[in-house]
Amino acid sequence: MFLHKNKLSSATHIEREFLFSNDSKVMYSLLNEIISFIKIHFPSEIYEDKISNCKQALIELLTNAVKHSNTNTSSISVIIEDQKIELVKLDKGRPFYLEHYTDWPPISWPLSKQYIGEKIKIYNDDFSLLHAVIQNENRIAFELEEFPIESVNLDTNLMEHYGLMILTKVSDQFYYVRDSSSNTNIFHVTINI
Amino acid sequence: MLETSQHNNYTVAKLLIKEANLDVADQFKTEMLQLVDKGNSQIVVSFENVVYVDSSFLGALVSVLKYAMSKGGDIAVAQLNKDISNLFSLIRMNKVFKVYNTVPDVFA
Repeated sequence: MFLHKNKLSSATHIEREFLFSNDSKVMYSLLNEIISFIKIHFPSEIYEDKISNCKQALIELLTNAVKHSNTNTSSISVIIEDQKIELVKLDKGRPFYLEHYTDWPPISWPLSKQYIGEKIKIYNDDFSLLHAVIQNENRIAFELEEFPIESVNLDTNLMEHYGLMILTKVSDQFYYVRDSSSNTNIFHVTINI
Repeated sequence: MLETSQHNNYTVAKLLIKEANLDVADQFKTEMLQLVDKGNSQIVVSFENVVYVDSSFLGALVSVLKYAMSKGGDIAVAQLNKDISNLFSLIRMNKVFKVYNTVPDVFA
């Protein structure tokens, strides 16, 4: 009986897609709709912090769509499996880019094979360093390195761009995939439960 | 978008918006910089009405802090809801800004 039950539960896979018009005016209602859906599957208060992380990740994915995708539709898929929640944003707009990026390695999709394993420095300040690791020609994963600092003063170097940093911090895994054949951009967030 | 009032040794700037996001980040920054320029260098921003904060708004808040510090002032935040408070701890914004549960008696 127990064995049967475990087997069933290990196969849990629930998926739902939400469409977003990339309009900030409907962001909050969509956010609430998606969070309500997640809470159906994780109703207990013990998941409160994880749900809070999902909420912030969704805010940043939706903000990213409004600000950077340069298209008027995107979709957010929520995939729930036993021990994790995945939030996947898809759009067919502008591929991942970095404003004013002149550093090495060069970013153009698909990425050149010779750069696999290299790190792209995205932002850094006195608190942290965010970089993207080139995992293959179409995929970069975001990694955050944090420095010990307890307070700020006039000389502290503080960045003003937090979107990718927040997404990296609230997730257990965060990566971007460019599917050139279908002209699709995929931001993939995994939050372990 | 700000309602301001004077307390003992500082100014309270209460946000009158629900969503502290990319739509209002620039306006917030402009209004805050004007407050600092008028000599209000110690400001507590009240988030009492705010349901969420996004990275654009956070960037504006940090930008205002840098400006206030350059004028010898400081910016604190108060009345964050649980999600915003979680975010501040998670990305260590609580080391960047003084965080008050309620509007304090004295900015210290």
